[in-house]
This record gives sequence, C-alpha cells and structure tokens, in this order.
Amino acid sequence: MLTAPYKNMLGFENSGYLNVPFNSSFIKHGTCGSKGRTLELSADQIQYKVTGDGPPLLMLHGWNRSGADLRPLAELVGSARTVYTLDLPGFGETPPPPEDGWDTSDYSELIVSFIQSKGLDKVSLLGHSFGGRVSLRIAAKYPEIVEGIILIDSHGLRPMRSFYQNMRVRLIKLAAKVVKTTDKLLGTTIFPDKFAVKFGSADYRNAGVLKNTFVKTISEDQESDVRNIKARALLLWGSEDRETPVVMGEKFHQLLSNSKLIILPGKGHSPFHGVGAHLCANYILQFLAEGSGA
Amino acid sequence: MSKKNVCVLFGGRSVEHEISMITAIQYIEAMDRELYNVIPVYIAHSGKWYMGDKLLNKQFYRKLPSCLSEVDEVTLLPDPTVQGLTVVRSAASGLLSRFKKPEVVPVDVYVPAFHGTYGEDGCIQGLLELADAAYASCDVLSSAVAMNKYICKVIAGHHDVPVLPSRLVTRDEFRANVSETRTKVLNSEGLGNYPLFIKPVHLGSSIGIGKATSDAELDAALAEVFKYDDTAIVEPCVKDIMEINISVMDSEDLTASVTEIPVGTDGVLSYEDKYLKEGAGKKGKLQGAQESQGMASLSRSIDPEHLSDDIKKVVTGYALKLAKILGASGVGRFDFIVNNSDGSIYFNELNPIPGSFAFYLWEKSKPPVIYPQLINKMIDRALERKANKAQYEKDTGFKALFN
Repeated sequence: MLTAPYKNMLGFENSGYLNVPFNSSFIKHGTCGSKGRTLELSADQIQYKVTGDGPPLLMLHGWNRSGADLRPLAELVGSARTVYTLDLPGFGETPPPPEDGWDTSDYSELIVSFIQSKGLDKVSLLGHSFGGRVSLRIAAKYPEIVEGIILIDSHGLRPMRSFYQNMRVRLIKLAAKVVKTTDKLLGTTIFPDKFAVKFGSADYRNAGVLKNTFVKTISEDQESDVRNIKARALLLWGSEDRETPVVMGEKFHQLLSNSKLIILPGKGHSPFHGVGAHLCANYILQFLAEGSGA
Repeated sequence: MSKKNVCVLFGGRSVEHEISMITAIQYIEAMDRELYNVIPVYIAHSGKWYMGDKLLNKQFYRKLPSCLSEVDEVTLLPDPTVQGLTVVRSAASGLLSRFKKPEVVPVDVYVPAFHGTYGEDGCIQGLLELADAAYASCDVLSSAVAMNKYICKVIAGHHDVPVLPSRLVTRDEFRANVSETRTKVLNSEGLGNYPLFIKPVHLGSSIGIGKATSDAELDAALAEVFKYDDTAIVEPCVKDIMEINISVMDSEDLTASVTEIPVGTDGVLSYEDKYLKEGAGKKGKLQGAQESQGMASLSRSIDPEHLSDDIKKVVTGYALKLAKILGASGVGRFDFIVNNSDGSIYFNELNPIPGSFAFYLWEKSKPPVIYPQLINKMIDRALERKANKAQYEKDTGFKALFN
C-alpha cells in the first residue's frame, strides 16, 4: 500500500487518483501528437467569461473542473486585470478533444490561437493543477506572448517517489503490459474490466471521452519546459496539498529562473476556494503590481 | 521586516460563541502569513483561554471539552509590563514543565473576533486597555454603547440621525404594576397602536424577542424578555420594511463600504422575518460566514442596483456620522431600516464586530478592499492607535501624597 501522503502524488484532483501512471504507450492512439497536426477544435469553440479591467490575464482550471472554479478568484483579480476564465476542451461548456486524445501541447496550441483570436499581444497566465501544465507549455514555447505566469498547486513535474513506490509503479506498469497483450491475443477484456478498475484511479475511470487525453497528459514530464521559462513566475501552494505536495512547488521554484514561492498554511490542492480566493488574490495582485511597476 | 504576532481571540461567554468561531477561523484563513504569525486563542464557554494551532481545525472541537488538554491554557494579565499571553498550563506536560517559569508569548496586536456578550460589549476591550495592548476593535465605550440598543438610539437621535420611537421598561417597574406599565408604554409617542415589538435591550441574539398585537400579548412578551434581561425595549412594528447594512472602517480616515440588502427579495422583509425566524438574530453573521464558504449565497444583495443613489448616500452619511460620534474603530457594520410605505430611513443598530467582519461588503467597494487588505488595515490601525495613546503625557508622580 502507498502511504497516505504519496497516494495522490501521481495524479490529478480526485483522491486515490491513479495508482499507476498509465503512459500513452499503453493505449493505441494512432498518429496523434501535436506536431504538424491540425486541431479539430477551433478557438471560437472555447467557452469563456470575462471580468474586470486592465491588461489581460487568462485563467486555466484543473482536471474535471471548469472556468467556474476560478471565477470567484477572477472577480477579485479583476480590479487590476481583464480576466478570462476559460473552459478547457472537454470541461464545462467547451466540446472535448477528438477521441484519440490530446496532450498538453495540443491544449496549449488552441489556447494560443484563442489569445490571438482575441487580438491580445501579451497575456499573464494563471494555471491551477492541470491548467498549470498547459500554462507551462505556452510559457515555454511562446515566451514572447507571456507577461508572467502564476501556478497554483500545479502539475507538470514527475512526482517524487520513494524506492518502494517506484518499484510498485514499475510492477503495475509491467503487469498492465502483460494484461493488455493477453487481451489482444485472446480477445478478452481483462484490462478495462478488471485491471483498470483495480489499479486505475477514479479520474481515469470517469474520464469518459477524455480517457485518452487523460492518459496522454498525466505522464508528461515538463521539466525541460520549466527550465526554459524566463518569465516572472508566482507559485502559490497549499501546505496540505496531497496531490501536488509542497515539494513539487519547491522543485518548480528551484527550476524556474525568476520565481517566488508562497506556501499557504492549512490550504489543500485548491487554496483559492472559499475565503482562500481573497488570500490568493492578495498575492496575485501584489505579483502583478510588482511586474508592472518594475 | 519581521513578522508581527497577531492574536485572534474568539469563542467567549456568549450565545454567539459558535458564530464567533466561524468569523475567527475565516479571518485567520485570509491573513497574509508572510506578514503575520497567527496566535489563535479560543475562550471556552467556561471562560478559560486556550492557545494553539489545533484550534484552527473545526474537527478539533468535536471532542470538547477533553481535547482542550491538548492545547496550552493561557491568560492575559491586566499588567502593562506583560502585554503578551501568559501560559497558565502547558499542553506539553512533562515532569520538568511543572517547574518552568510561566512562559509569556509575545503579542503585537489582538483581534477580538467575538460576537455578543463579554467580547463585543467592551468587557474584553477593558482588559486589553488595562494590559496596554494594541487591539483592532471599537474601544470600551463605543462597544458598550453599541451593545445597548436604547442608549445607542438615544445618542443617534440626539445627533439628528432618525430612529424609531422606543420606550424602555424595567423588570422592577413591570413587576410592580403590569397594567400601569402597559398604559405607560401605549401612551408613549409613536407606540399608541399595535402591533409592537418587544426586545431585550442588550443585543446579541433573537432570544426573548416578541411581537404583540394585544394587551395580553404585550404583557406576555414583556414577561418573556425578563427571563433573559432586566430591561426591555418596546418599538413600533413597521409592516413593510427593507433592511440596509453598511460597513465602516476606521483606517486613516473613516471609510464606508458599499451597502447591502441582506435579503434579496427587498420590500417583503418584515420585522417578523428579521427577528422571529429561526436563528434570525444571527442572520447577518451567519450569512456572512456562509457567503465565504459557498460564495454562491443569494440571500444578500450587495450594492443593489435598484436601491436609489439617494438612499445609499443618506445611509452612508448617517453611518459615517455615527461612527465618528460613537468613536467606532476596527470594522463595524451599521444596520438601517427603510419604511417602504413612506421611504423614511431609520438607524437600527451598530454591530461593533460584525459577522465575517463584513468583508463581503469591502470586496465590492470602490476601490475594492479584499479581505487580506482589510485585515492589514485593521492591524496597522490598531498599532497606530496604541502609538498615539503612548504619546499622551503621563503625570503619574507622587506629588499629592508627599506634599
């Protein structure tokens, strides 16, 4: 058994998310990947809300959430920025990516075309959890359009596991391969019926049309992206976050060339919920003001 | 800059004990920990003071009172040379701890987050004054005045802020002669017709509040009040009222927030709704707390568009005037009522420590003040007030005794 603090380190929002990070090689998805591929969704299909006044700030939500999750925070930051809260493809009101799934680069390409379609030259980005992954991709690939980046309990780095946890994950991965091959050879359905139920997370099982997207994005290691980002960065981290623990925030802080890490005592993976929106907004407004003042 | 030690005090010997806990925990959650070390202090129903981070977890209180042995018991001595919290009993109960000198936890600023008796009425403020501590709330006098509905109204009326007519009835007077008391009430200006409202003069909850539509009901309602208080206040019952609240902060200047109508469906709120519904007395406080938890509460309308600018202006003017006259400090909330049939506005009450410190009004104000900023202003102002006080000349020699 994994110990409690590590149980959710591998995954997204749901507790007990995924006991094994199925990587994309597990599932046949043909010729997908971001390179040279046309996205089936267009920027005008992205549903979003705008609030506030000032230079633009885009907020990207976490897995299984929607723009609504960040809206109370957006209202508060709206005193200094025009804030766009987007429903990422597959969440809220925005249609899902094609069935063979997207990786975070695909997501980032669409967000960039959204930015362009709105006629915005330079934006600040805020990403929570999964939204952080997408923000990192954009900031790494399109530094010229990114003013600054705010990450709240973000994914993007490989979880740090103990030797024991590592062994366990490797074993499960190996077993998955064996089971899948068996399924293929014998025409059985042990993997989806039994294996995924036992070892997959609730998020994986509930991903529905996003199953392939989930698998593609979960195992991405964006460390090289993070190293390349030169933009100012603010890292807000809940001290009690079990999904993307504070050590991840510290790692981001270490890898990013110009970042500030603020740990929020007592807060979990979504520190901007409830009155926490005020606290997060406080640091975000300070960060943005320092940026425009300098 | 080193972090300031801020002690947030909550709980207390009041029927609004729990509401205070919600206000305090929420306040602490919004505090900028880059600036402050937080020292939570919970005053139990018993009146004992407890200190420790465990007090921030709501689940901790499920095991009351036994869980209190897991936190330090502390006290504030009325001794200006101490000012911090003195540890009475340490949670770490080792053999050696018995022989240790009582430890003092230094505190820069106290934030009373109480509602109701002993915490909002000047009592704790008196102790803080004796200790010469900086604290972020109304002082002794303004707290005490605010918590006596009658005296607060008399002062407001004296300064041309309209209030509803009212009359005080004491328990002794009532017991001496019931019918004579009733006649006196009914002969008072503005109280000649039923229905009337009868409340305990000391604010804090809906307990003891009643409505009378006949002589018999008036007698019964007065008798009910005297179970809880020695003085009752009788007011006319305005049928079709709208409640308007506004917060005032004592920062560099007195500043007013936007207004709110606590119940979205304005115009249909009766005095009965305001006071007689279950838990209604705590309404303003509870809703504030829920608001922050759910952020989707529709039970209040903040800076209502349909409320005329004239009314907003009048209410803002009255609130600022009263805050100055009463010497209000910290963040308070002034509640007004509007008689919908003729548009007249009356000052109703001042909450020196409103539920959730009325932060939900400040985030919508112009310019917006988000909760951590509101907290910074409260704390800065408390330190400033203490520094100002320290500048007064002290003539404390022994000239008279030895001359």
